Amino acid sequence: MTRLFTPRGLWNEMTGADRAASGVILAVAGVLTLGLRAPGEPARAVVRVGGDVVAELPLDRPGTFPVPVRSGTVVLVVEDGAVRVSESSCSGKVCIAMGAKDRPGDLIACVPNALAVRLEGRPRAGDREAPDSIAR
Amino acid sequence: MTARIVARLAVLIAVAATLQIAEGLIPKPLPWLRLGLANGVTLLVIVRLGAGAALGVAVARVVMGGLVLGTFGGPAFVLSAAGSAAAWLVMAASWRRLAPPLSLLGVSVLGSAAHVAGQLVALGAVLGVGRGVLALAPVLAATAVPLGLVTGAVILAVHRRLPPWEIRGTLAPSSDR
Repeated sequence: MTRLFTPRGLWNEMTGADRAASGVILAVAGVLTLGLRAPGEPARAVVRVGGDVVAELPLDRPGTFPVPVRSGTVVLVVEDGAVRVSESSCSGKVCIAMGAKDRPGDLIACVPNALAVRLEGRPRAGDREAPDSIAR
Repeated sequence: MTARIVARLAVLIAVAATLQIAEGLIPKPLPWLRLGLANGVTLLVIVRLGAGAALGVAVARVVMGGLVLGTFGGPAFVLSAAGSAAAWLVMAASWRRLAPPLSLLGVSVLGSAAHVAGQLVALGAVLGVGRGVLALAPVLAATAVPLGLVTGAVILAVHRRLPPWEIRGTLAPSSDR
């Protein structure tokens, strides 16, 4: 019984199908890791609160940006071509723990505040110029 | 439904809600990691009392957890509900159709992965980023496997040590798998 909680004991307890199912999930994780690498350089951090875009922050312009959210304020910091959450009025602080993001497609989420920061590539020709401050 | 079943379900709901609340409060190296013991209770009930009872326990637990943690109705509650519902669905279906060859451990891993998937879908909807949430999928899917195994091992140990639950009435007795 106690052997169940050692790696070998756990492995021995698993059926072939258990191992296969675990392997498939790990493989999916690997494929997603490789498949999600978007080309190009991230140009801006698109900030959403409750699904609505409230700001687009160019990553080449360092600064500190307070974003009003339902529980108070989330402070975003842009520096060294990356964006991170430095302060948040949420309970879990998961958003702060997610650290600095600098690759296209990267996402910072603060669930209690319904805040998302997603890194996107440079706007294509014809796109309107992205505002560089809180748009609301 | 006998008094024995009512009492048993009440205890299970209390245990599941307590585990859910406790897991949110315990300091962790990565704050979004959850061992998933509350979902483990869902699995234990699927195995011992059936999928219907497990759904009831899961719904009551999610609501209680939301009320105690103050997230009820908010984005975090939506994620909790979506993850728990997906985990219940996948674990109930796989325990019924795929075990064997899957054991309780494999069903737990599938439930853990389903919990992540359900949360990601809800996250994409709540945050308005849609498929953008896939950026979080690799690390979540990878951690779902070891966390699902550990949760499964705990539930397997509990299942083996508990005496059989004598069930009369509408809830079917479990096999001794």
